[in-house]
Amino acid sequence: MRSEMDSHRIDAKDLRFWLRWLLPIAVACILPLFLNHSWLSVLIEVGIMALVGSSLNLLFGYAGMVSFGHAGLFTFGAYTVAILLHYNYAPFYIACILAPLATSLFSIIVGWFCVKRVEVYFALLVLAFAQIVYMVAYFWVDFTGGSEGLTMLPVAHFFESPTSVYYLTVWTVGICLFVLYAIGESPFGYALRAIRENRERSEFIGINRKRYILLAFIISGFFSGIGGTLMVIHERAAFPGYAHFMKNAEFLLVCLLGGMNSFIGSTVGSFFYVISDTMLTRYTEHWPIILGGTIVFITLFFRGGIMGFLEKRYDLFKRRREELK
Amino acid sequence: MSFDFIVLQLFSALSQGALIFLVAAGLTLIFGTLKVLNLAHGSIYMIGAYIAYTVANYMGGIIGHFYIGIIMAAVVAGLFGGVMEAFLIRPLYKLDMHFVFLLTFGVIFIVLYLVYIVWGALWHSITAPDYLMGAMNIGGVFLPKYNVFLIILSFIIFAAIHLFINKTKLGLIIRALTADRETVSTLGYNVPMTLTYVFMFGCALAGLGGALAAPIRVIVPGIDELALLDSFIVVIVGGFGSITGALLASIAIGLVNAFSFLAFPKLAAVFPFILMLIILVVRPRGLLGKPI
Amino acid sequence: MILHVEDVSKGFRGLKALDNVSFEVQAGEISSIIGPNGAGKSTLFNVMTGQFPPDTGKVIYKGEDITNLPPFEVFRKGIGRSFQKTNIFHELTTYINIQVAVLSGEGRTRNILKPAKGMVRDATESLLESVGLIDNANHIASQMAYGDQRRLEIGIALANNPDFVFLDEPTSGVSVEEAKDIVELIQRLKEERGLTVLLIEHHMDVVFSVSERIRVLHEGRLIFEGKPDEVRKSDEVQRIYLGEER
Repeated sequence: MRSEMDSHRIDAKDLRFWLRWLLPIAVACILPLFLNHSWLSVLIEVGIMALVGSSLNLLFGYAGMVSFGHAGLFTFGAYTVAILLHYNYAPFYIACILAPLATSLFSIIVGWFCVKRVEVYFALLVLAFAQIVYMVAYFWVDFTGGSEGLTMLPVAHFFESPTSVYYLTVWTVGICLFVLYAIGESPFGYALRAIRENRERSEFIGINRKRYILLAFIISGFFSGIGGTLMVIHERAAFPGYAHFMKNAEFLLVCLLGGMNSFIGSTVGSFFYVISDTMLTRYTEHWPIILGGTIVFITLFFRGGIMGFLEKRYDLFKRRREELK
Repeated sequence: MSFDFIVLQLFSALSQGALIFLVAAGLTLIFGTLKVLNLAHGSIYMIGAYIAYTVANYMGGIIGHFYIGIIMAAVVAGLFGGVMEAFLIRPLYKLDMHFVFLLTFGVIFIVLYLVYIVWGALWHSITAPDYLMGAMNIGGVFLPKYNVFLIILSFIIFAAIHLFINKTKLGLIIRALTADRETVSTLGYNVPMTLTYVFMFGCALAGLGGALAAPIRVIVPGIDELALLDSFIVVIVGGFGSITGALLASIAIGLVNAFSFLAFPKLAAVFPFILMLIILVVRPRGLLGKPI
Repeated sequence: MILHVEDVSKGFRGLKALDNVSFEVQAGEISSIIGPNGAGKSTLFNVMTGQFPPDTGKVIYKGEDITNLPPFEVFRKGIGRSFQKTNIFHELTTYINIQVAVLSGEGRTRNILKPAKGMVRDATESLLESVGLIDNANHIASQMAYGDQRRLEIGIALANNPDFVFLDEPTSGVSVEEAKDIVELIQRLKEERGLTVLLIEHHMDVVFSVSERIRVLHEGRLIFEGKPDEVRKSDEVQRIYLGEER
């Protein structure tokens, strides 16, 4: 299974590089002309999921650390905004900026405890913290609204229309994904890959593994916090269900489904997951077997995910073309 | 708050702990030996409960149906585990653990679906035999007989597992596998089959737990989630791979549950997690786990 | 004297893997540690490079006590290490294997916003040429021939321009021809970069052809140390290696 990210293929100076980023955003911008609000809502969820998924992928795909608690980070960001808005502790735009920062702080604390351990221990510990977020959201009824959550939050007037939230999501997610991509392609990103490929050797080339994973975790938390903020703007509410422990697995699944070995994987995975989930739960009660079956099937046969599968096909295609010459 | 009341609560706590122990013991055993964290463990617990229900339903009149139900639950759970391990998990051993992790997560949904198809979404219940129901008088306090039964049974099972692991040859092989799988295979033992057996045994325990819990809990899709979370807490608090740790942790959690329910009924569910958090901070390896 | 090992002992659950080992390594020399299997050679390397601390004793490099430093800090002191079991970054290309090590060596891996792609090109390419892997630059490391992987193994150890390098059985598992090439490589690198090299080796021809000094470890104790001729003539060493000549 090739773990090489698409980095070596195209250059930033190449026009194709910029087209790959700007074209989808351009397409996304004209979609509201053709789609109704319900579909825009679905796409907003895709975008948010892609953002959180890509931030998770920094840890999972690049550094090889499974984090089973990103729903907790996401929800922390969401509730920060929600609480600030609900109790009028801060004006709208300030609240939106504070939330990702607060989530980063939270990530520092959680990460500091978790990076001391390895592999599954790390995953479980992150899960433990995520579960605590869920419990606090669910049980601290007086402050967080309990199982009802916090609803009817006062968002800025501009964002009361679904279309504006859509554009906000497109541009925020677009920019954030670009930043995440850049981080993945930086020397830091290379160091993370080294950690994934050979934990022991990475220490012997001077990488303080714990510190690098912690940093990756904080960055990941920051972007998950942005995702949570977007969700609250979209739904005008925050619910404990955002941190339900199954949600953690959904984020991991999205990375795996799309392909953890390519950056675009989590975005592709989000498309497939959100859209099939929406359609499945709407039209059939058989969704658990489809979801479960898909997960089992992918982990057994398609560990490279959709992008991995496509890349293999593309490589085969190129090789056949070479042979024919 | 009378003495009787406290003793009653204590007993309720211990019996809850006993149930949690059975499920968590399987999980920690599997994790310790196979290094696999089976997220579907709660689902297997649930299967056990449903099997016990089915047996009770169809063999209601027959003497001893309760025990047959429990045994069948363990057997079916064990077989299910065996099939799962052999066909789904074994191919992934050589890879990073997160694939197995995710695969078992997928199995959760598959089991949930199967349960829903076969037994529907309504909740069911079963009752234990008459002589196990009601209360018995111990030293002036009236304790629920079934709870006493659970506590005694769990201690017996714990002792059995402990003896098996530490005193038998197969137990020695399993302990060796926990430490160094490669070396054991060079010694000529059939490692894959042994691992499968351990997995099956762990699942059988979970199924057993589900069946034993059935008379005092409701049987409905969704009990897998609670069982899984409880098991996780026990495994973290008790220490990965330690059966004795799992016992201690289960008792601790049973106690925390019982007494926090008295003191803060609304927030009671949080306290096991607070315990887990404290352990994570103060002693990350768990009570009796190996240093990480 | 560039490295001084002082009374290092290490036990594992009652088994004494290292027993009061002491020796000095002079700057610029190529020396080896030999001994039967289980003598404690790899354990010694592990202790010296920071993987775990010794029970007693000290490791002093360039006058500084590095005994309790973790591997990533040992690296920063200008020490490289290769492994007996090929320990490369499997699914990355050969080029990136070296590049990431060079980047880390230059302390540039904290950079999160500039693309790594064009960085340290000269250093990476020159190192690849030194180990003879410039033509394999774009191959996935795990897909290369074993001999090439061993070269990469050494290459990674040299990425931070160390002054001292530990090579753990660099010719392990390669053919006689390849072993000769690797010996040449080690000698050439020592000349080019002024390295001090400490080897663990089982191939006696390699040991005797390349070492200026040989140390013999047996059951955790350093039982002999001297020039190759002295070692060859020693009765004690012969006794230990009886039947183990290769």
